Amino acid sequence: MKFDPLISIKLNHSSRVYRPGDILECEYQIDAIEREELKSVEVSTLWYTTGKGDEEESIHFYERRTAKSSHDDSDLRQLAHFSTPLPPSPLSYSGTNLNIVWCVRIRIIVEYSDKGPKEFKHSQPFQLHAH
Amino acid sequence: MARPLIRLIGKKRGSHHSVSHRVGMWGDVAFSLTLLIFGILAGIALVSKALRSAPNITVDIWVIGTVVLTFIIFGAQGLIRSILRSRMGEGIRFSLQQNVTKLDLSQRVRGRTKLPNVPQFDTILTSRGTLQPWRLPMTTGEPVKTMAVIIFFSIWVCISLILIYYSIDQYLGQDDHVHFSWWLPLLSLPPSIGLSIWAGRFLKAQLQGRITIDPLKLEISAQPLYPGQSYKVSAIQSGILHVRSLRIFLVCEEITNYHQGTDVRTETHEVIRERVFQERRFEITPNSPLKETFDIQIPANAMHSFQGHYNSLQWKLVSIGRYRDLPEIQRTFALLVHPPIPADLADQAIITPEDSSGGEQ
Repeated sequence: MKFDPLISIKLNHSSRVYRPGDILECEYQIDAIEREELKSVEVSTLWYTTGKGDEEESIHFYERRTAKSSHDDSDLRQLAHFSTPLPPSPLSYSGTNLNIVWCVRIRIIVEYSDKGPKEFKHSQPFQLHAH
Repeated sequence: MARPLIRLIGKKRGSHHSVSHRVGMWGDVAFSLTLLIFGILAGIALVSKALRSAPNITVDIWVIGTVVLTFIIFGAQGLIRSILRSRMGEGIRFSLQQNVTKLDLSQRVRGRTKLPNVPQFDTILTSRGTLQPWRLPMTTGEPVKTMAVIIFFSIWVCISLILIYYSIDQYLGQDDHVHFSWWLPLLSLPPSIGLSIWAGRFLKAQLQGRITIDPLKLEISAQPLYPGQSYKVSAIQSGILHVRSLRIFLVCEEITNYHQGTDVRTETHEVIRERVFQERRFEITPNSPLKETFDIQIPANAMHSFQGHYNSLQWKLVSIGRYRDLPEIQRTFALLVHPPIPADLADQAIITPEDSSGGEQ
């Protein structure tokens, strides 16, 4: 039986509350997967909407690492880090028909020997507030 | 019933599709690419033919050229759209977003703090006020509704006139005056005229308030607004009016657009509606126009104005006036609420009319 890979995300603010202009630092790691099975890792900081309207999202920070683009000795599964200053808007919002949610999202592409490529993703929401 | 392994023709069910997204995307790419290649090849052939027959380029070459050009445009547009929707497109979209933001000259000209997804205050399009520094732009009335009534009224007036003309023409042209060709259209006249009269009265009610009354003007002490701050608003109205009541509300509303099948629907939900001004039973004359100043406060924990593709959060002042012998008139005035700014940038954030005149020079 094959388990799904584990994606861990750790943010520098334990409360997960940030202010505009704060530096968001994030550490992430992928486990429970063989090195050669992991083909690419995409990290992004984005906001998306939920609620009654059609969903929309906007990427604030994006980085993609692939097995080919990495150095020979680097392992995509290993603990990695990125940081980005947060923008002044839009702020997190929880309304009736509209919610704005900020998150760090890690998406990985895995290719098992017996199957085709498969995608896994994990998001860690955080709040962007002015106060 | 057994489901086929590969379904080439899909059916859209709301936001779901009966075929896989990947099959759909590759199908779209293949179709667009074929169209583009065909367009380019046909274009090359057409240009070479046109060059051979120059200077006598016939009309059919122009017509075929237009068709070929649409093939190229639709093919290229479909191909770009498919790539942007694919996984590869996320990176491209991000890169484009970054570069578009860099190239946004209007932001550079204004030289203000960039606020993604927040409508910017445009000093060029905003007028100065007389009692306060800025006059608020009016965003009503209901142009679509008025236009629909005008079209409805015009159609039924035209139908009535055609029926009258046809009936008279048939009556005069027939020896047999009991012939149905003239009295049958005449029978359809009463409902047609009735609808014309009803639409005309509705249109009169729609236009009456707009044409006969000087518009209410609202002016504000500062733009843009910030949560937790108070602002002075002046209401100005001239003319000759007996006002039964005039109320002004501070409104914040969520506007969401969503797809339901093939329809796009819009829903508006008011989050905040606070009455900020009310006055009853007073006269407006040329010698004593309405000039009232009152305060509004944006709540400290309020959300800023937000503008997405499908969703938005809008702040506005809504005036509801009831006048003697006139229908109730509602007008809305757009406000811009920006997110709170760090203390070190607070001085730059307040825009005065002098700033805008300096920027225009």
